[in-house]
Amino acid sequence: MKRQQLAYVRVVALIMAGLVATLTIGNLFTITTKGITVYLPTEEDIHWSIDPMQKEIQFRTTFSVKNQGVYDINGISISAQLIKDNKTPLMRFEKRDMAALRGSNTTYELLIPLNLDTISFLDWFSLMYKKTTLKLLIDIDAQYMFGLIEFTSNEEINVPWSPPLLNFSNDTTIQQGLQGVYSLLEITQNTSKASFSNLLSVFSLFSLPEISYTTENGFSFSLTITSYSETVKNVTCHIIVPVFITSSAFEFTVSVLIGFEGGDFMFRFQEVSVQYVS
Amino acid sequence: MFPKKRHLPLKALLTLILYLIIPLTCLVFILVSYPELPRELMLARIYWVIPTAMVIIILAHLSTLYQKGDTKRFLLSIGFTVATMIWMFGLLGGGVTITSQWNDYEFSLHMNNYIILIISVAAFNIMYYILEWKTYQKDNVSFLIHEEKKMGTTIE
Repeated sequence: MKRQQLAYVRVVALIMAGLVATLTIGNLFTITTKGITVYLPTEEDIHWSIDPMQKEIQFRTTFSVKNQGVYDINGISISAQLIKDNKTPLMRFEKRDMAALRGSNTTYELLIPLNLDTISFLDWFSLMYKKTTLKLLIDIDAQYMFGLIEFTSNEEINVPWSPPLLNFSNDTTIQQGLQGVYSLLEITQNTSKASFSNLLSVFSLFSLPEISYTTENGFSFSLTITSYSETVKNVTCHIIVPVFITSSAFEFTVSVLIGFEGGDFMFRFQEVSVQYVS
Repeated sequence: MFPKKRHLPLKALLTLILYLIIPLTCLVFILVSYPELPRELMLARIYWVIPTAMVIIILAHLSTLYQKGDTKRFLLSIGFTVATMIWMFGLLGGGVTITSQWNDYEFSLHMNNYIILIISVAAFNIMYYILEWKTYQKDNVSFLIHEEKKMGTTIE
């Protein structure tokens, strides 16, 4: 190689070394001074509502990115998973290819729909009745400086869940009836894991009187227990949840046979339906 | 072979500015302007920058004392490149992943690609030093042979 060519290589090598050293100092400055910051939502920032038209529960929240760095933040992708307290996933949400331009504070609004048709009947009923804490698992990925630096975050945010049905009545008989129906459904999902309290709750249904409860706003809960045979009962539960915005309602009906037949525990669904009635 | 140089050579001067004065100024500025940031972290970086930058400056200075093509200059230049890599690596936090707390949530910054870039640049610089060493060594040998022949002719 000639000396002149070597001099060119030298210039390039020096420029590259200087550039990398400058980038290192610049990045150190940006990162340590929190020039790039992501604000994730807290428990209070997560709101939810029921959209009857779409048969969805919609979770709304925001997260914002402050980018005071020299480069744009590209490829921001968020993946959220809502799980129940027993780790059962309810839904998964993904949003990709968002960007936060340099020198900007960008707020991203997230509307995470949970379609009630896509979750199991037990989960639906659990959401409608059971007070619990859901968990929102959030994964955020982003790329900075043309992908040379990658940001990742994996966080778990608690979402306190106050079920709509629980707010309709404080009547202990109604609560007991709902609890019994819920336990009954839980047992059908996994009979081997039925707890003693579950069984007690189910058999407490037999001691309840026939319940028919309707509130002024249209919420209705009725539980009818009739004898199917000497040892088998027919439990029918009918719940109507009114939707105030559109003067319509969700109607839930479940009818099961429960008892003992031929010395064995028997449980058989007669009817299960969830309908949106306008 | 030590050429007479009284002033700090350009390479050493640039190294002093780029690897010691600028980063040290930045770190002190961050330390003073952002008191909410963990002081220990900044001090640790300052304590890292000063000795490593001093080593880099000394290596840069020593390498200029030898002629191009000299094996000592070549080895000192390689040492200089390796030292700059160590300097950057330490300044970035000493790992490929930096964990930072933002708004009570934990974020990780993965620098794998950035480290690859640093290694690539270092490799390019090492390649240059190898080429420089080979080229100038060959030229120096040719020059010495030529000088010996010339001297032989004059004696005759």
